[in-house]
Amino acid sequence: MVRVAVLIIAAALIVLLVYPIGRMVIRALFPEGGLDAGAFARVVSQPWFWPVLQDTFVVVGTSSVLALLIASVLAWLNERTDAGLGWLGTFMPLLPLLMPPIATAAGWVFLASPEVGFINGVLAYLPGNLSVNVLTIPGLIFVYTLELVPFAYIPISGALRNLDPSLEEASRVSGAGVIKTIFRVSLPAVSQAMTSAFFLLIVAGFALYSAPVVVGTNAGIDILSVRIVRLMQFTYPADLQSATVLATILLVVVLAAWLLQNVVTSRGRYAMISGRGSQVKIPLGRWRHVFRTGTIIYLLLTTLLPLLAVVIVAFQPFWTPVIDPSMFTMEHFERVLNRRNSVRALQTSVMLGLVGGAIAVAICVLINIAKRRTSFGSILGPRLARVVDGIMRLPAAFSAIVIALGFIVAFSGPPFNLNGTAAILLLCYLVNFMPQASTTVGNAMSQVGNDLTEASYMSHASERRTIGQVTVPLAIPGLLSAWALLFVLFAGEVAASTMLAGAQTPVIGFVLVEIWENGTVGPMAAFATVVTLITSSAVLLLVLLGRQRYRRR
Amino acid sequence: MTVTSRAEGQAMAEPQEGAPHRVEIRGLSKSFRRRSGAGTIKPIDDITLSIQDGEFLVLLGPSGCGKTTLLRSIAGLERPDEGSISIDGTTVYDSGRGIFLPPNRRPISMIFQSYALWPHMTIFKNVAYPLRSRKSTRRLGHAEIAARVEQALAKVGLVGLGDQYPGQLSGGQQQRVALARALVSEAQVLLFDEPLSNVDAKVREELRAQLVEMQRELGFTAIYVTHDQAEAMELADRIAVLNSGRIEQLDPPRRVYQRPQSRYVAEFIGSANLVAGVVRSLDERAVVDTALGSFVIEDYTEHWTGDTPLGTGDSVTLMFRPEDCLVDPGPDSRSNMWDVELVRTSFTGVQQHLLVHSGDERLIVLTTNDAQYPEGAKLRLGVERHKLHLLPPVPAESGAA
Ligand SMILES: Nc1ncnc2c1ncn2[C@@H]1O[C@H](COP(=O)(O)OP(=O)(O)OP(=O)(O)O)[C@@H](O)[C@H]1O
Ligand SMILES: [Mg+2]
Repeated sequence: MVRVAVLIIAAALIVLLVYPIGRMVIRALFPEGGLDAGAFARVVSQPWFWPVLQDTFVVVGTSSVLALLIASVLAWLNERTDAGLGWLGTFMPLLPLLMPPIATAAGWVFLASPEVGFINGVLAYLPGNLSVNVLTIPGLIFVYTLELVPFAYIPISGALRNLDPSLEEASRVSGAGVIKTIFRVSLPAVSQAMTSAFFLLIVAGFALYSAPVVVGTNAGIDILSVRIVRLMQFTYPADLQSATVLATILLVVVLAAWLLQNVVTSRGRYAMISGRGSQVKIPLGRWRHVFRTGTIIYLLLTTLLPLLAVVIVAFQPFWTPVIDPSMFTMEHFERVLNRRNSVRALQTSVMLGLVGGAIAVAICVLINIAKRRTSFGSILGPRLARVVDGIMRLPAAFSAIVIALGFIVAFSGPPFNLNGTAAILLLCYLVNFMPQASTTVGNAMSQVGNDLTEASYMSHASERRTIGQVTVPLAIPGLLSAWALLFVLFAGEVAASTMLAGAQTPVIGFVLVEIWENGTVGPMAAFATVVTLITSSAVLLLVLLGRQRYRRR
Repeated sequence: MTVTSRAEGQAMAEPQEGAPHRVEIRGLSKSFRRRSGAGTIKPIDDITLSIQDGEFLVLLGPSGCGKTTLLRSIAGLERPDEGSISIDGTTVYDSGRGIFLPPNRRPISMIFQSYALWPHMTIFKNVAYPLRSRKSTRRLGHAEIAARVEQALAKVGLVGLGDQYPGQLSGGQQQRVALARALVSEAQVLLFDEPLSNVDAKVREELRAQLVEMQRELGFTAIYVTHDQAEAMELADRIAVLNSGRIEQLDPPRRVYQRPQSRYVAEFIGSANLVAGVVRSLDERAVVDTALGSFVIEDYTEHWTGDTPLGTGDSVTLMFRPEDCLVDPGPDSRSNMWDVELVRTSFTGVQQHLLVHSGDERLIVLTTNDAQYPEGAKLRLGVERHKLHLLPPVPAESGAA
């Protein structure tokens, strides 16, 4: 029974992934039935085409390199030196989840717009003609970089954590300095993880939507992902043909990077010797405090500063660089919360996040149980288990925009007529976030040690009783935190939401973009503040639940 | 361990009719494919073994020799490739007939190295779990279950801790709870996988003694895995010494120590002095030529462990225990004697260890006399003629670690 359910789910997932995207690609290549490069030619000959492509590559390429550097330094400091932040360090990758990415991007616009940005307001008091401007290509690269750092931090810190410290020690004992040790030992040992992280950054960079839609649009910089949505949303009639062509280009680039990343990852893990127990850290001496302070400042700057900016703008009657708390007003909150649209968006998103997250967790638990191999045998054979695993991870190779566009092509028309319904959103979120769901649920389940389940068999309990009484109850903290993570991801999703949500089913991401596009920053900031409050409560819950371990000696 | 539990403990120990052996293993084999690179590893290699009712059998061997795999195969947590296993006269595994009884339906309990208590359940619930899982006891009333759990906890000396969680107990206490959980379902066969290697030395001694006492009292059959030879000697009725998936010797502890079947066993159990030699002559006694000189072995057939009769000119390994060496014995003892030079001494209070050499041979000597010898001193060693053992010669590279 479980086997049938798992196979149906896997089949459904692959259908939901391959069918829409297949339809989309076919539509781009064969608009009238026969192979026709006409659509491609038409798009390529547009005056905006080459500039869009160039800007996208410049922004994604540069920010990927920068993010890789920053993530490597942060990961090394935190994992291999005594300047690490310990508990706070493990919290680092979660920090960006506190705020929906679109709010972070808006925060940077509030901070660093020419003249009216808060930073420029401060700089005006200082001597010299200093000013910053985020509404430029370097500014956009800056925001991209900050959003991308966590994508690289997670795998690199993982690799560094597994690095055998005796290698570093041997190098240091033999008289090499810290710098030499880094370049001779630490760096080569994790070079594979870094290469793999770089391709991951490319995949994530091309898929980013919130930064370019907020910063890029105001700056007049056109990025591929935004252009695709724009062709669907703001052209009348929607230029589906051009959108599919652009999405196909995006698909090819991202898929290529994803495949390269997989090739690198699968090429053995020769450098990763598990250095169990030994927690020898490189002493940085006097520099320790400098680096630790630097890390903390980086974290504060990248999370607290934009949040502060958003909150201030939400309370200001008009966005002005002069911050005067006596002028603060609730008017934007009232306005935005009195709009039926935004209230319904909150309701729909929270509902989708809760229900969708629960469904995703349930699916992954089921698949995890089916994959498990015991002496009883396993529900899925080893080969089938690998195939199912691959299917669960596959959506990572497509960006949300491509998946959403595929859904529009495939399901909005007859016979499905799902356009603008909550169902199409739910399905799209599920497909899009299945890799994250699968990874976090897998981690949660694998935290239950094998001998705990085996002890249950040895106590004469059946497999079913073991799963019900031991495996699942012990995995529950991890599963709840997986649920919270999915809630945050679902609720903060922007790209697919913008394309799929309709007037009847507005969602948070859709409304945020809508208000932003209308140029009303106050209500947007107020709404973003409310959303941040909701998601950060969920993140807090996630951290608390994830930390709750039964005391074991 | 309380005395009150003695009465029903004896009732449990009543042997079952018509079950000569509790556990019978025939021709069991299991191999694993190595994860990285080619090749397979065979941690169980054609093992045949019968375990008597109420016997305490210890599986002993160095790390990676397949002890755990064998135990897990008996438990049903691992599926062997070939052979058969029967417990209490029931075939639980038979490759030929395609029988595999899943672990939860085998009449056994197991105690894990990691205790494997469920951290989300109280001690009471942990111990009650097997009762609530098993068909025969599932329908027991609340009071009956509580009574049995209390009994089991009393047996291991943990009365009144039922409401605690495992995380609140010490390692030794946790392992006692695990023992109570294994005892509560009254399984006749208990499997132990290095249960004491996670508790500290003092508690280990205590638990070991308690375990022996409890086994004598309750009469369960125990299969106990360890790589600690002292533990094996103390606990076992019989020790099975394993060497890469095979049983090298299966004998009571005393015999394993005094009559090691092979150089591997001799070196693994206690320490041994091993000297290569060639048989010069055989009659009542054997004379063996070695680099240390000629040795006379009294009653040599008793002391020869090879499968085939010994012949003149055969290569053998001469083995004697360090504590059987006499330092500067009287001139006309019936001992074999030779000269050595002292390399190092270490004094442990009761005994002193002497490391000596003679040519290329290095020997260990254990003596209770507390004479002080300077390093480099010339000593005369002796070994009595019936304290020498003759083992089959072993290619140098396969000596035990
Ligand atoms: N599931 C498995 N897959 C592959 N190889 C395995 C597996 N389980 C055990 N092995 C291998 O089989 C061999 C025997 O393992 P086993 O755990 O039985 O040894 P052991 O005698 O219990 O050792 P230790 O004293 O270290 O516990 C080892 O080389 C081990 O690597
Ligand atoms: Mg073992």
